[in-house]
Formats: sequence, C-alpha cells, structure tokens
Amino acid sequence: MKLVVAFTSPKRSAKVLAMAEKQARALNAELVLLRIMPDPQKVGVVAQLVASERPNLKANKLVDRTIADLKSRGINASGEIRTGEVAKDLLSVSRELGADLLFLGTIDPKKRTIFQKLNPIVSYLINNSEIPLCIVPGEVEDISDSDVDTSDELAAE
Amino acid sequence: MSVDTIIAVIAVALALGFDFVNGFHDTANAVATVIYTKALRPGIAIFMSGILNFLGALLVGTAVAQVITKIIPADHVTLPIVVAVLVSALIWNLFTWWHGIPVSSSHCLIGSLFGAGVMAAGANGVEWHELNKVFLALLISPLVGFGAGALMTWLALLISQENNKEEDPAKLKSRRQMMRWAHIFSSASVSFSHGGNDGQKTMGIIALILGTHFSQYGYTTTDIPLWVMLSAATAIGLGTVIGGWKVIRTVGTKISKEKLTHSQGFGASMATALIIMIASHIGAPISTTHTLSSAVAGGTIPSYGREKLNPKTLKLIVLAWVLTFPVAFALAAGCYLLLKLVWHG
Repeated sequence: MKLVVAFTSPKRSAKVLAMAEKQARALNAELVLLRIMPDPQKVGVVAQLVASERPNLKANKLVDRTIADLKSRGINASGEIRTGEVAKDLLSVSRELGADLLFLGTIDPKKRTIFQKLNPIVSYLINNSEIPLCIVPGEVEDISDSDVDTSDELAAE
Repeated sequence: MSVDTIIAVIAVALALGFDFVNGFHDTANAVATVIYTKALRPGIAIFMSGILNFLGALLVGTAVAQVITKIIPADHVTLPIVVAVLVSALIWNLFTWWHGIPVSSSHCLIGSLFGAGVMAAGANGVEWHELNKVFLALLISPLVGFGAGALMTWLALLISQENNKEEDPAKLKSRRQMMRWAHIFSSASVSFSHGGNDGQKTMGIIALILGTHFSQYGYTTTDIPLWVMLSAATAIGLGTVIGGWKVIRTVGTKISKEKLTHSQGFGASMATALIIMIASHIGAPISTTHTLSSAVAGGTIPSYGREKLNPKTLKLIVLAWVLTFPVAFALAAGCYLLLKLVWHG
C-alpha cells in the first residue's frame, strides 16, 4: 500500500505527517513525501525573471531530512520532488506513483481568514481526485519573520 | 431589434470579456514580486490586486480611453471594425496566455486597431499622429522601466542595506520589515495603476461601439458614461481575482521564497507604478507586463550584477513585443475582411 503526503516542510506539514506516519505504521504501508515546486514558466514572465534554484535546494534538503527522520523511526519512506502546477501535479504525480491515499494539510478551520476559506488546492483536489483524500486540519501557518531566518540559514550554506 | 444592434450589444460584451481576460492575464505578473518575496500570502495579494484594479479603472480618469477612441478617425469607425479589433485582440491574448508568451494586451489592442483601420480605409483609416504617439509610448516605456527599476532598486538597497552582510542583524531585520511594507505599498500601486491604464482601453473601445451604433441615445465616441467605467472596472477586477485563483492553484499557498529582496521588489514595482500613472495622466496606453518585467530586470543589476540577468526571458519579452504588432495587425485585418464578406459586404 502506498500513502502519498503533499509535503511542504517538516514544520508546516507536522500534523499531516504525524497522521500519515500513524497510518503507514498501522497498515505497514510505504510513505512517499511529494513536493511540487511551482514552475515559473507556468506563472508568468516576472516569475521567470525572479526564479532561482534556491527553492529547489531548500525543498531537497527538507525532504531528505524528513525522510531520514521517518526511516529512523522504522517507516518505509521516500521522497519525490517535481516541478509543475501545484494542484494539478499533486494529483497527476500521485496517480503516477500509484497512491492509494493522498494526505494533505489545511489550516485549522477556526483560524482560517476569509482568504483561506476557499483554498484553491484543496478545492481542486476534492473536485478532481479519484484517489481517496485524507485532509488534515491544523497546518502551521508560515509567517514572514521566520522566513528571514530561513533565508539566512540557506545563504550561509 | 436589428442584427447590427444585436452584434453591437455582443461587441460591448466582448469588450468587457477582453477587459476580464486582461485582468486574468496580468494578475500573475502584478503580484509576482510580493508573492515570491513572501511580503504577502498569495490569496491576500490577489484579493488586494483585484480591489485596486477595480478602483484604478474607476478613479484614474479617461485620458487613455480618449486616445484609444482617436486612433481610427471618427468618420471611419464602423461596427465591423470594432468587432474585428475585439475578436483579434481576444484571440491573440488567449493564444499567448495559453502558450505562456509574455504578450501585452495593450499591444494587441493597438495593433488590432491599426490593422482593422488600414484594411477598412487604407492610410486614411488611422490617425497617424495619435498612432505614432501611442507607438512611441509603447516603445519607450519598457526602456524607461528598465532604467527606473535599476535606479529605484539601487536607492532602496542604499536605504535598506538588505544586501549588506556586515550590517547589525537587529537593524537589518527592522529595515527589511520597513522595506517589506514599502514593497506591499508599491505592489498595490502597480495594481491600481494597471486598472487605471488597462481598464481605460476597454472603456475607449466601448465608447467607439456606443458612438457608432447608439448615437441616437446621445452617446458619442469621445464621452465615457459612468456605467461603462463601472462595468469595465468590474470586469478587470473580477478577471484579476479569478486569474489569481489559477495562480494559487499553480504556485500553491505556501510558496518557497525566491532570492528576491524586498528592495528589488519595491524598486521594480514603484518604478512601474510611477511610469504607468504618468502614462495614464498624459493619455498613453502602455503595457504593465513589459514595464514591470523590464523594471524587474533592471533591478537585478544593482541587486546581483549584470551577469544575473536572465537572457532567455529577456529575449522572450523582446520577441513578444516585436511579434504582437504584426500578428494583431494581420489578425484584425483578416477578421475585418471576413466580417465585410459575411455581414457588411
């Protein structure tokens, strides 16, 4: 059995990872962390001008670190990083991987602002996925202040 | 109701459709710098952009719309010309959007007006003086954008010291925060000015339809009624928000930060907003996409040096710039001929 997790980072995806790990352990299933990096060519010319390898490097690092953690706890885990359109390719790559269940995180209903109520990624997957979904609320919000530290950490490496 | 009246009503709807597609097409570029620096979350950036596009279209004035109505002389404007302009501009806009070619809606519209006007009445079918002015504005705006983007980014970096590795971390953090807010303000200004300039192009086209076909109700080709301003503002605002929905589906809600500083984002956006506001004031229809992308490219030089310019993307922008005029010209001329054959022959 293969469980695919729509992964962002260990911090942001903590709850969905914990849920997927619990299920993988109970079902003796394989866990695949899937990260879709947005393709600047599909966004627009300004995105193409400002794009760098930086997000890919960061994603590789975070996925590798999380896989190592999961393996150290006895989970059969692997990772997959692709470039494309996030919502569409979360589904197409999950199909390609033969996922039996797709886990994705979403913000806690009580903490959602009006802008987050209609999450386009979750809506797209609910409307288009034939793969069963496990939507886990309580995803950690990212705040801009913490990004400053992340950038510096990455720049220093 | 005559066939012409039905087609005139459809043409007004097409014009609003063009406005909607314009907003849809340009959202990603207008909010790219704030999203990629994480100054704002994608959802908030897009909602803000939609509201400001609406307000810009409503409040900036009608100088650009007036110029659009003058490219084809009033005594030569006919319904088939306006329909041909709209159909060809929509086709090229949708085709380039589908293929990810960074084309400007303004170029599409001006090229189409030029093509349909010439096909309808030869050299007398366009006001050459007006067309030259518009062409000049479209030509120099990306060049000015490049220079102004470089200058504004250099100034912003000087103030924020964002690239200064020896700066005190506490001071640097507070300056980054300050520059983040300045960046949000400048991005909001881009959306406002985009609505102000691009929304007016549609108003001009609708004024042409009303002035040529509904003159018995007191409409002229030069006056822009309030309902036209409101509907054009709504169309561009809605297009922005719905286009933004697709942007979020593409980039996600938790995007990784690119190596783009708030200073560069602010410099490029502020330069673009100022250029477009000046252009709107003097009645010059210019391209937000090309001005902003040139300003971002210009801002790369003080940020990371000339070698970090992305030549592949820059070539694509130049190619789209060069291609759009002849393609829109030919499409509009072809559409006009076809309409003459099947409808007004």
